[in-house]
Amino acid sequence: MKKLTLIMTALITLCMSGCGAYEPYVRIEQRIMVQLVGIDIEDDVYTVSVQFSMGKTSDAAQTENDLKTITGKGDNLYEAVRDAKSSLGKDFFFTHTQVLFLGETVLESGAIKVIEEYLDYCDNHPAPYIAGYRGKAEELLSFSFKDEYTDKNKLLLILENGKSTGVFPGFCIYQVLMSAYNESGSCFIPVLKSEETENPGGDSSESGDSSESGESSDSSKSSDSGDSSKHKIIPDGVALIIDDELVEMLTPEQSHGLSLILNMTRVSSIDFTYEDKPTTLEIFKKKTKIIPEITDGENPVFKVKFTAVADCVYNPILNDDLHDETFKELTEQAVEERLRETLEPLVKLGGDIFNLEDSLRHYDLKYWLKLEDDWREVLKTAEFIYSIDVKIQS
Amino acid sequence: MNHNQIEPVSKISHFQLAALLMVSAIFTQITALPELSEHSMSKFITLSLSGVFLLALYTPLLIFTSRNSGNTLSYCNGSTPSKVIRWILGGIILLRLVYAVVLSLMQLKFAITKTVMPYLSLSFFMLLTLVTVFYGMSKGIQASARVAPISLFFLIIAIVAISFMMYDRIDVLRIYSPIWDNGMLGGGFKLALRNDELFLFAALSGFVNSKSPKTSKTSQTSKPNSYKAVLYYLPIVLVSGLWLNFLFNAVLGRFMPQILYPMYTIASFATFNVIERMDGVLVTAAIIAGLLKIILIFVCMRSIIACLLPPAKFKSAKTTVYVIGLVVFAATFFIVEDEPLLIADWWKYFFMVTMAATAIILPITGFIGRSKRKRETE
Repeated sequence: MKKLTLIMTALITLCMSGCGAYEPYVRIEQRIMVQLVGIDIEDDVYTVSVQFSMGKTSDAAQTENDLKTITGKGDNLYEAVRDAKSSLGKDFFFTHTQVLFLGETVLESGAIKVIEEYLDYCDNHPAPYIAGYRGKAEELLSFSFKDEYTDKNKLLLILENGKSTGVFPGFCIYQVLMSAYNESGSCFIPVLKSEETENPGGDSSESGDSSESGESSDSSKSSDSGDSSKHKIIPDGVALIIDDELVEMLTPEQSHGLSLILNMTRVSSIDFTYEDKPTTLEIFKKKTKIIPEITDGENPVFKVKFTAVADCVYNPILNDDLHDETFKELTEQAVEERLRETLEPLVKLGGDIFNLEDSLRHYDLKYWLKLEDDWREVLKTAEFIYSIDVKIQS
Repeated sequence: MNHNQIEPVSKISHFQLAALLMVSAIFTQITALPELSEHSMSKFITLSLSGVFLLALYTPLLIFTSRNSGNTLSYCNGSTPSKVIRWILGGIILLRLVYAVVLSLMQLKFAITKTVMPYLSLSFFMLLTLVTVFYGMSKGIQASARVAPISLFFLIIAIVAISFMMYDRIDVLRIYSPIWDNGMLGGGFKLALRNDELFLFAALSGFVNSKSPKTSKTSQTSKPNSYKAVLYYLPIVLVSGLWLNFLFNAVLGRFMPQILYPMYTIASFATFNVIERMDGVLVTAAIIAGLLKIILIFVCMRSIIACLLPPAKFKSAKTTVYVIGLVVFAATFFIVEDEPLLIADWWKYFFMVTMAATAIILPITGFIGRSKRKRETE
């Protein structure tokens, strides 16, 4: 009896080999691991662009011919993805997607709806990064860099650079949605843009299409129309979205202080002039806390507490002055100014990137319940007091 | 005929029973049906209150068990006030165990097919589960009891590891006072009524060895210690429930109601060295725990049925459970996904009746039967 049970169990287990027998049954070699996804909407037509690798296991081994970008169109996301799949004859596997890009038209209206549709249909895992693009996401996925092809590593690096320089926060999908589901209904999405650069050699190779040639059913395009210029992709600030509509597109200068407030990067930098000399300090071990300070009036007052350690990276004459009280005060003033310039305009627009709602609810629930119904208007009138403490080390 | 004659040599320690109960409870916590996910601070209070209510519900059963040679089902000896009461109580516990096995199967099926294995063949999955469960049941309680500490270890390691990996995503600002929420008392009571482990304890307490673990002698006066299993199980499961609730709210915040399984989503964010996502680890631990829970429930069903049948037909208990198992598996296979069958409002009456019968009426009738038997022997 034991042997019979064991044999039966082994037989049944053998029959379960493979990923399953659901209709339609898709073998592993029929699946495509998607790395990047771009979504555009124009005249109610969805265009989905998908970049994937053709099979090299290590990034170092990938060449341009290993990457492919394919697009599909449809009346909704489902149909657009199905159109892309049908031109390729394979099934997409979205669980390893690194970044979801939204085109400019999607950012203007319906970004949150598109993100939710993406989660519903493509993959219910909300870990990929999200970014917008000033133009069509389809073009972004097909650009060539100056000498090399476009792929997820390069775009991820651009996003990481933008994050580390404080131009925009590096958000993944669930962080954007968490922010959008708050009472303020606001969220921030980092934005990229492209700039043309001259190709010094006049090299006309690879005008922006990383897909294989010869596939007539492949509708992925983005050609540079035969000219020899290349593009570079740079961070371009932050899109503030409230109730699924674009309210403001913030420039890098306007959003430059985000890395100080959001604690998303290990190191930030601050520039100011000391005794007529440009000085740059590297700021690390930073900690920002925004807590309600006064909660008995009509408008809440928040205290911004910032502590950090700073190191001078540029000003060789400065070493003796590093422990000077005046220098410390100037540093703290520069930090306060940067925080004020970043924080207050964003809050006045109605954007709550800084968890003010959560902070107020956590520290003073009774006061929050009074303001809950009018929170959006109250948020715009919030005031801030700054308490900065920066320790300078040589 | 003695209840112990059903399983003459299968004895487990109270630690093993505690491990079995904990595995069952933690499996439910990490694979709770999606409709029960909510971003609400009141769950901290309802969980704590449910712990208090559970202690109150377990107390009569524990007192009866400790005074009755550690065996809740000793009324199988024929010492209940009446045969009808024995059948009614046994039938009610059996019904509740059938509910528990259907719920556990659904949780396992949905949790696997909606998360890490969306392309899994459902028929093969159910068939393999059926074969595994029947094989585990045929091995008796000791086999399950030996696997329980290992399964519990993996579950706890998975939860602890995932919690550590999420340290940078935890934001305590998402936690706030629940003091202004309503309905926490009722919520705590409802949560206590949904407890399945009380029924498992009622069916399994007779399998716990009364031998003191510190001595090698079995004394006739050794005290029954099956009640200790509950004293280990209750606080640990309460702490794990509160911690998981904190983790869900502090990491996911307002995003939580939008996703199916909070624990799975958090596990998929967690990375550790070469393991890019911990969700596979979590699901593996959940599958083992789920299978163990279902096996345990079938063992309990067999124990109850054997208790209800005349002694000459003890062996038919196994066959009866196989038949019930086949029917349950077939029924669960056809239950449509996303159908919130088991959380509809009218189920609360079922929970109340079964809980009252097991936690209150069973020990009372047991005491009455015991004193009746004492009077008869005197």
